[in-house]
Amino acid sequence: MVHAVDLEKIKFHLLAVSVAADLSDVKAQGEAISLEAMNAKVLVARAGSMGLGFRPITDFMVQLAEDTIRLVREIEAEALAVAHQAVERLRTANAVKLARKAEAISRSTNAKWGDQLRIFVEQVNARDQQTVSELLGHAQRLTKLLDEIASQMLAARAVSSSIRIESATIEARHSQSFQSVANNLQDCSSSVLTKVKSNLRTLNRALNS
Amino acid sequence: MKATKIFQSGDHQWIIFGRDPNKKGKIIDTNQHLVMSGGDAILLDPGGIELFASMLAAVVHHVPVAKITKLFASHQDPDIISSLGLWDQVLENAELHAPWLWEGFIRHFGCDRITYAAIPDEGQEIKVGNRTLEFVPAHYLHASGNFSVYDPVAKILMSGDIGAALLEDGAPMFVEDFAAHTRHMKMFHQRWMPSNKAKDAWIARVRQLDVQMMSPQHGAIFRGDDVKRFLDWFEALEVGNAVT
Repeated sequence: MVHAVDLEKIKFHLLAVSVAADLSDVKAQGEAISLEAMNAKVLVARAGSMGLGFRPITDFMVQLAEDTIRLVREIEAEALAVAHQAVERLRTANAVKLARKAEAISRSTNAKWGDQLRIFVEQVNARDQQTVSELLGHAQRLTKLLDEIASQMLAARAVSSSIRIESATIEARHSQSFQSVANNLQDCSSSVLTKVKSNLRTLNRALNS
Repeated sequence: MKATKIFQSGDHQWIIFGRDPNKKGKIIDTNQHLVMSGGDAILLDPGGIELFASMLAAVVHHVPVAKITKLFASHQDPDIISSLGLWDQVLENAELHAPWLWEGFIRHFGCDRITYAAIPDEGQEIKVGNRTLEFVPAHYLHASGNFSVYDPVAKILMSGDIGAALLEDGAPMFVEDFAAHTRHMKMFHQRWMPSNKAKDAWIARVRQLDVQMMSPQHGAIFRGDDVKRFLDWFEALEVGNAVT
């Protein structure tokens, strides 16, 4: 559902561009999570029978990593679309402002074809509204994706805890490696979660104000 | 925006817009030209973003916006064509005639709906209503790809930056004292025009044309004998003086 937003007041276009820039880091973190999933699989193989308890965890990690990579790619695409539409909106909004100014001047100077400018003002305005609608659409899709990845990251933190618990039951030489995976996974997911929550707050505030 | 009709024969008209009293102080003053014929219209060097609203409001005194089917940009400078993205929003089916060399650059101003009609280096003729306009090569004066516009019926040459003068606000539209006027042109031409060779080539071309009025993008219009005075003055001037 599109909320009515006074985009001029909150300079949404600037907000959108800065959100897109901020989220560009999420992709790198997503890839790091994928790397940890691969590490975990290798460790499980090396640990032999001692690694059996980790298999369901690492299988889940691999799926989590795949979902995360998919999501970060969609987030990157949608964030870029938001940034692009926001800049486009700057252009169309400026065109409306100047077309209206031209219409006002032509009216005050009784321009022979000044009346026709009203039609152009309406057309330019309609295009601007279309741009706003597309911008809001992209922004809402982005917030949905951010919600999804936030859930994924919470799941990643749970997996990290499970790895720690499980690694306490095995030999120290394997346990340390699994602890390292757990720590890296925790760090990556926390980093993503912090960034995602912050930008979700920004986007939701902008969309709902 | 002040509008001055400099030529009319039936529905064939040249109107120059400039000396905008509402222009912001630190932007260079510019002359924009509207040529109309047979229900068709072209805007030559339509101007910068800052002028767009004034230009649009001024133009509709003379022509419906829908009749503006062509724009021309002599080169890529912002004072020439930075309003392109805004005209792009307003004009339905227009073409921009501009040097092929600058297409990738001019498009940065925004050119989604307007068609870019690239002018080849050797120049071109286009029809505007019942009239033909000629794009006369003026490369390196100052831009690497650059054209003047000649109307053989009106005998008007729109010369772009060639002939430009930096004048006080409220200066007359026509040159009244050529000798005194050169004071306002000398530094501009010595600094902005990089090539004496290019200058001589352009002068040789223009001497072949019957020009009764030469209208630059900045400053005042040369009429009658002042056109020849300008060509002689320009020919004698050493340009490109920033490099010794």
